[in-house]
Amino acid sequence: MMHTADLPLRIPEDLVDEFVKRLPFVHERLRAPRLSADRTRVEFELPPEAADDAAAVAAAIVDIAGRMCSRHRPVLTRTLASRAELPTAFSADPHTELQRSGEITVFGAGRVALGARLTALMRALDQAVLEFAAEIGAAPHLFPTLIGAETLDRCRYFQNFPTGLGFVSHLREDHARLQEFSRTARWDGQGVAVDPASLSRVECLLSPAVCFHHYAALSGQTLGRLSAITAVGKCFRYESANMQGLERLWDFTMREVIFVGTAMDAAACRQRSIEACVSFLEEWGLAYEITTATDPFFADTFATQSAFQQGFELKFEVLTPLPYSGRRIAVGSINYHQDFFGRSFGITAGDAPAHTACLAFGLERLVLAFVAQHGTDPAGWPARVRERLG
Amino acid sequence: MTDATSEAETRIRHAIQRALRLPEGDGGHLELGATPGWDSTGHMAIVLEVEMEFGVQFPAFRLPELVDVPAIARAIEEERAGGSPP
Repeated sequence: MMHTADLPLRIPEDLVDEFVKRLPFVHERLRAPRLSADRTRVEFELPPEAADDAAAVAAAIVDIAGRMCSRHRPVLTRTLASRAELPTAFSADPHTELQRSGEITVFGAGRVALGARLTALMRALDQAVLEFAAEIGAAPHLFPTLIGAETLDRCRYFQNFPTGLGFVSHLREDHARLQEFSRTARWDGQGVAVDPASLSRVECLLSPAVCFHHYAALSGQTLGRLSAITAVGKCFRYESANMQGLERLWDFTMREVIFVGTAMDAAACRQRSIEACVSFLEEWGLAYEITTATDPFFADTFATQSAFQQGFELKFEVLTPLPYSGRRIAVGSINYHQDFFGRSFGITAGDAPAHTACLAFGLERLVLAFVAQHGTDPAGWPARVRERLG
Repeated sequence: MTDATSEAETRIRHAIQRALRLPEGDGGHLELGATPGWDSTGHMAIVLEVEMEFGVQFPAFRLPELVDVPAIARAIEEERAGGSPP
């Protein structure tokens, strides 16, 4: 059944994508939300059994619009580097061919397996980033997939990114409850019914990023010199109805190069990371743009946090065009956090709270950008890439 | 310093103290990175409090300029005069 939410203001054009991306999180049963062409109304569907919730859903949509837009500061995006021309004339959606050939297997929304060829491609892309890490002396580390709730709390992640969180629980140490679960638990088509009283408290979550682990590891330390490390890990961000193919996964792989030191160290490392990105993208023959950007903050903190990030130019995104859709996806980012993590974790460098920066790539997205621009047939890939693949 | 500037700076000082929950009063020198709480997290609280106090809205590119009381006073004056190009 179709319903509408009339907005008290017009969504600014530069906020349309951000606003629309938040709508699936308003209600579990909400479907097909659409912003009107004049940007003053949202149409949405609810199944008949949820029709009573329509007014509350409309009110929530109005609330989100107000919170995101009322103190909105127009975005002035700055481009640091770009290569507009696409490397080939390939413009088909590679997902179809990749699924047909078994190179991707979709297990569910946001959960996709890669086959042998794409795995080799992903490893080669990762290797190129590792070479930059080795150049600057960033030693490889390995972190757990689980991250402590206390660590994310210190990062203010619960306030700023609640929608993406993946909680980890286990059955409590209670023999009677374990027996009951063992006897009765079955997949019911939508989930496993579990008595919430049988579940443990949330001590850990699925890690949404790699770098937080390193800040937690350095907690309370005084650094005599720059700490530069690199790590790859599985990361998890629940994206509701926004999850789509390899473009937006729930479970993905992130390679990061992480820097902790003085303000000067962090600024220098960020600059080197930008230069490394340009050189890497050129070698792989990708069309791209590196621009100022903001993180996908929760609606309640969006206006202030994104203004701060924009104003201080703390985030740069590596955007790559997808010829099959005409859209662009962010395959990576270069981030400067000032002294936020230094203060949050009590890390000192040069007699002051440490400054941090990181370079991060979403490896499945890099793979997608590459095959979207170069095609799925390795015969059409650049010679240097084929050499890397062996 | 004119009376108008002095009054504006006092209001800014009080806005900063409210935003950072500091005791009201002269409070000495207030500066980003030097005043307790005026860090990357506290900065936006100050910006919002000053904006409400003076009925202005700073464009994002101006936020890094707002590092102490005189700088904020200058930015308010410029915004009221029609802003400045990025």
